Amino acid sequence: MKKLLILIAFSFALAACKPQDHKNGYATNDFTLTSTDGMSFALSKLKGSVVLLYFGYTNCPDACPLTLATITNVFKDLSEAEQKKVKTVFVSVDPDRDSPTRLKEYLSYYKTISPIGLTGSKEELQNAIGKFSGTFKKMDSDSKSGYLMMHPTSIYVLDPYGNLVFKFFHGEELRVLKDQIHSLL
Amino acid sequence: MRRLIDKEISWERLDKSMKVQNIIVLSFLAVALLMISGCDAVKKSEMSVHDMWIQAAPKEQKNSSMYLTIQNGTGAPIVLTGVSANVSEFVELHTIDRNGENMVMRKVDGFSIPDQSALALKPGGAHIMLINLNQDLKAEETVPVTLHFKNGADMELIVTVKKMSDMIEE
Repeated sequence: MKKLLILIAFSFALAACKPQDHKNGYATNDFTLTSTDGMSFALSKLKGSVVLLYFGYTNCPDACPLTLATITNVFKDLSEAEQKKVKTVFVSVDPDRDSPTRLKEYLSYYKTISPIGLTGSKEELQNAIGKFSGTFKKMDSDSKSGYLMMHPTSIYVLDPYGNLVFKFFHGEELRVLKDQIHSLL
Repeated sequence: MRRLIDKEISWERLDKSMKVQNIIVLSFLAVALLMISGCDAVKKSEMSVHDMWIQAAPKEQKNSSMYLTIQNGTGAPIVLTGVSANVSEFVELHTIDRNGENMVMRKVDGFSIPDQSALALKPGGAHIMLINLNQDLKAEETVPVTLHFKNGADMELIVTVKKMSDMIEE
């Protein structure tokens, strides 16, 4: 009996040590928002692809274009077949200004990476970003651009099963992101 | 040299060749002094702007950003208080506040640049924000821009539009 208990405990410990449960990634991390076509879109629809997930907004003139340009440069290193296995998802956390149409217009500029644009209600967005322990907040400002949004600047890298495997921060060497993506393809 | 500054020795007592030699030395000294003082003036008033570019963006993007580096060698602090450009309705100076992995932009009234230091505006940090674009900003086009400083001075620049992806590490 004692041996059996030790065996069970050992099995639990092994299970806990597994880096990620690939079968349950999207079971934990999935969310549904509205696409730029106004349709419901579940993130798990991208199962099988490496997902580069970013939470930003279209009035953002620096961090968001920088992120999309960074991903564009990553794509230059990928073969056409590899590019098809990597999906960029840009979630706007500014639903008051970023309608699906506005988001579509904004993202159409980034043709190389063809980002999937998503948005939703504040509650839906809180749920989505909360899956990755992120937050966003509307901040009052005297800027002529209106209020500003606090949002994460990192790119969340999801493996083909939907597990968050890496966060790429601004300022890190691009090679780090490239290596990470290559390791998942 | 001592001979030249010694008041007890008159010019008349110097022989002709000595006079000529000393005049030449004095002339060189005077020129050198002028050059040194001139160099000093240049150094003290030196302020250079480089690595300037504007992010390419279609008008529909609404906003864009401009980056540059200002090197202050003027001998005194300077403050960049504003920027004018006719490609957008408004131009503002923005800095970035970070909190862990989160960030938020914040409008500021100016960027102070201490003497002998530089203000470097780069993607992912403080920047000049172009709000409500009046036109497409196409790569390799140029845009006239004026920098305004707290002391009342303005500096006119011609800034080239660049693609963000071309201006960051590949």
